[in-house]
Amino acid sequence: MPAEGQVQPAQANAKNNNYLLEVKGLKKYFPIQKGLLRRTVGYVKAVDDISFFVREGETLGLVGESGCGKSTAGRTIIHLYEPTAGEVLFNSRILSSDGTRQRVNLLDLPPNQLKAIRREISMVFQDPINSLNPRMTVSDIVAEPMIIHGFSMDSETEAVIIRLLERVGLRSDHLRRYPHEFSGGQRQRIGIARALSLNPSLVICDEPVSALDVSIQAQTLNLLQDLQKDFNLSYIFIAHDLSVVEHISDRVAVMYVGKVAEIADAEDLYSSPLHPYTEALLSAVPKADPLYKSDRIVMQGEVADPSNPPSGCYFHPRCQYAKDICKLKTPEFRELKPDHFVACHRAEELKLEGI
Amino acid sequence: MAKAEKNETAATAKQTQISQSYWSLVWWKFKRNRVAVIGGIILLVFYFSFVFIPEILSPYALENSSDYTEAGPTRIHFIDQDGKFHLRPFIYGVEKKIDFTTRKRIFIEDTTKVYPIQFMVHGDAYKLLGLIPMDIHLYGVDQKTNPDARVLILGADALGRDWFTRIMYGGRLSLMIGLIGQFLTLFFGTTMGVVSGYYGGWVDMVIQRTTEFLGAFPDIPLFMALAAAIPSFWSPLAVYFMLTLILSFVRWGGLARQVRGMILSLREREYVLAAKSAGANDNRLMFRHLLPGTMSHVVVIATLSIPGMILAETALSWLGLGLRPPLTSWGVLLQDAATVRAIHNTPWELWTVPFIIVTILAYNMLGDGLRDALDPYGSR
Amino acid sequence: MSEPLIEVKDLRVEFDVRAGIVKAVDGLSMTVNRGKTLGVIGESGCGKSITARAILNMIPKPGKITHGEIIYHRRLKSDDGLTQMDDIIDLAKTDPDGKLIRQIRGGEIGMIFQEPMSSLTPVFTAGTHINEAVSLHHLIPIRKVGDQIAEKVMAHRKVTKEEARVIAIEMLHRVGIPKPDQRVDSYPHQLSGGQRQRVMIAIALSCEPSMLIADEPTTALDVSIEAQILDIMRDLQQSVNMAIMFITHNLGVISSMAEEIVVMYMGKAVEQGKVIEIFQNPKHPYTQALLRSIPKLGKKAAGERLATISGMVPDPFNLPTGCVFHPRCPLFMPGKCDKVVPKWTKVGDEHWANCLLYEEA
Repeated sequence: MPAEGQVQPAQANAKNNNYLLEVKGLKKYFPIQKGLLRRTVGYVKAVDDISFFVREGETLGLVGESGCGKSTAGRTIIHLYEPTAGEVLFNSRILSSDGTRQRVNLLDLPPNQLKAIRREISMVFQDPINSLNPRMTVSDIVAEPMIIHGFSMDSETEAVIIRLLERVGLRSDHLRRYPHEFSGGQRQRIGIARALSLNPSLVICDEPVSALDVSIQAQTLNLLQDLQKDFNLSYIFIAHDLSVVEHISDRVAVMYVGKVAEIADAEDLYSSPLHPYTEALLSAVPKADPLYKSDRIVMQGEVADPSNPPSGCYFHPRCQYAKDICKLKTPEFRELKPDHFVACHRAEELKLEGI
Repeated sequence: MAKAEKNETAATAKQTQISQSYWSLVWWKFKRNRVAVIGGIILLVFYFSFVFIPEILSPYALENSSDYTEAGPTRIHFIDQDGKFHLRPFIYGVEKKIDFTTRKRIFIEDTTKVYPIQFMVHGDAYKLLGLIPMDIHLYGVDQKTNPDARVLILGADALGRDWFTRIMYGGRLSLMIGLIGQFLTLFFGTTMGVVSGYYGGWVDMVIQRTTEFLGAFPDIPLFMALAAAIPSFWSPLAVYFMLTLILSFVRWGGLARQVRGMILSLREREYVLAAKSAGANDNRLMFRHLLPGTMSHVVVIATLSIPGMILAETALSWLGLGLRPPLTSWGVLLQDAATVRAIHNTPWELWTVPFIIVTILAYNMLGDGLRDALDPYGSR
Repeated sequence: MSEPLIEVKDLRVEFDVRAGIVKAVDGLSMTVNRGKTLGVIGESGCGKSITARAILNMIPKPGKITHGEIIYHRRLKSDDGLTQMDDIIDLAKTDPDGKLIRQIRGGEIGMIFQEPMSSLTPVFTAGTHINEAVSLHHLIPIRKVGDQIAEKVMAHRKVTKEEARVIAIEMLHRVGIPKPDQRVDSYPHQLSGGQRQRVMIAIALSCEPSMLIADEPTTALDVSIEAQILDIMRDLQQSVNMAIMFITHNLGVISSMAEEIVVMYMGKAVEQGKVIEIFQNPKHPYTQALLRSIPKLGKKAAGERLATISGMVPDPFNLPTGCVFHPRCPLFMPGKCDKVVPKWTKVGDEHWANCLLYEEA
């Protein structure tokens, strides 16, 4: 019997070694400090025991509302934040001794090996204005990861950069320009080129299209998909727009207040969700179809506070199916159907509606 | 795929102008601010004249005392006794007399002795920049033919030394202290600010408490205490360097705090996170990404702080706690000039003051212009 | 039966910036009917926000209305509700600082904005530094929420301070704020984003305006909160018979709120029609391209790419000749579209488009 609050790790099976990335029990707590002596009076449990995996060449969508911890999760995986607990297992090419992949725990690595891993995992950021250093040229920006890892700025490096820029739809005469001379969509492309400069296997995209106009969004999503095919990339695609996530992801994880509520195949999740939060979320999204009719489920109240979450299942105050057990016990995260995980006490009995 | 992007980039080519880095945009905007440019030119002229070539510009060596004690400014004439206009200005020889009613020494022009003022004359020997032996002065009365004549355009002091010369040489030290001191402050203050803002935690706390501790002392008494602690047997040059160090030491705290504040907000910018996620080490993050983002503000703060440093040195030397003779700075000159006796006998010594004022004004004009030029993107 | 409340006729708004003149709104005509919701949709730079401000004569400098009319069919009810007085005012010609427009603003036409604590706005890329945020109607951080509502009520109705407070509590209740008699004394920072937006709605609705202009009111909010806010707006509209002009770039939101839609591009209306018509039978190539470029929820086709609009938004100082959309139009007719400016043409039942494809010779 697992102790209360302990999450059952994802079912081990022979496919394990094909997982490019496996996150187990990851936690990131931010201490709340008050007073002159800065005593810790509590924690914001931004990421509270999450587990999932990403296969090679696939896109895992990470979706949720504000405060759910999806951005924090992405940044903790790439080790921008020091995790509080858990494991991040990654199949590294660089650290293997025999040319095949070698499984390492990012949290155990010594600093020089961690730095080497950074060549294989990179990140694309949300804000086109602030994600590029305004004092650096496009060439400097895209080349920086290479410089950090010991490449010198010679003609060979420059050739690589020019190829990258052209691949994302920019031109070689953009090399000496500065970010303020480009539009939002073009700046995101520069950021994408930068993320690809070291030939990574995994790219974490943190809301890459949220700040873009609808038509530019479409271009950028197409670009990401093309690049994924060409370079055999895996993506963790973090966003709050459910339709964008559905479009680009193979599998989708729904997060709520630091925990994963449900993970499944994109089509499966959207058509037959197993978690009441997923159902309510899908119901709340305004559909771009005036003829769409359904019984709207209105979630009452505000999103829970990660520094003071409700007892038991975090969603119970807003859940229309909540029963007593939901107030008392944190639900297990278990595989209810093949490749479809959910954390809900009543998942077997509920008949939920999707899109 | 390719078509959409090509169309987009073709449109870009049509609409952009020349690629301009941040600093070239700043320069372009700065140039259009006439007041700031004037301030800059004044400072350039002052620094060049007073720091590099005072020996050429002034007619005499610094310590060249003469019999012309407490002589007023020499009158320069263009028209002689016969009413004839001369292109070359000239001065008359003077006779020393004592006026018994006012108890002052007065100098009466003797129109029989006419001394033309020549340019690029030979005079006291010196070494330009300490290296090149020369003896050319911009203007003066030929010493060889007329050893007694003195052209004192701002008068002389109690030892008969040309005051204009003294102001020139005084300017050298005063201006240099301000600049060097500020450079030191800049270097130390920004580094401390970046380290403090980047690391946070106890490093931040220690640095912050230190700057607060220092900042709690009122400026002048702190200067006085530190300056008074300089041993009197030190050579004047050593005293000079020590003073510069003290001035910058007291001031770095303010700059560090401001830089720290900026770093705290810049630290969370996504381009910093991007570099971090690519594996950049702390040094690179601090000095390649964070510090350059503060530079524009730091330059303005630094420029507008230099006058304060110049005034601080002036005040200290005036009180006798800073530079001492034989070193000359504007503060030392003020020490001579601001006594009751001096104001009575040699009021022209107060000509020092306008030079100080113009320097400070010029720095403020420059600093304000820099501050405006800092935001070349407009509403960014 | 539709009764026009606001009729915008050939509106032009220009901004005189250092680099030239920007035509933020370039010949826009549209109608808001009494009690109905008109959705205005377009991407950044299309001029939808400026249009909203033009209606209230609140255009930030250096912009000004250079042409056109904004006809307001005013209907004032007497205090006992028995008599009504009809009037027609051209809002474009009112004095922007005058008494009349200040009476109308807030009292007869309310406005709510995007929640200001957002970082998700698309960047305005034309480089003209037009500041789109107007400070007038945001929540003031240092005053209590209840006071801000009460002040608004007292400015437009003859009530005492106590009565205004009672109205404020009632409004908070109507927008769904729990414990309104306590919340009336809160400061804005003590409320969540969704609650702040509800307060904004309360302020806007406190004088029972005949029209509400909502400029991206839910863009910065979470989906679940957004759903609540949209519900409130719909309920209140029903109970007060209020017209809404709903401005957004989100096609999902607009299809669930609006009865009629105007699509804007580069300062012009390119298509207008009933919501179902626009979504099922879009006529203008821009509308078609826009609808094709959004991923549709629940209709995932594996590996499919989204249709994109080729090219980029044109430089406002270098607008294309003829139809301003022609360089990006997949149905471009050379010799026509780059020479002739299209006219507003009827293409269906209450459905108009601004495209040469539909103009008869």
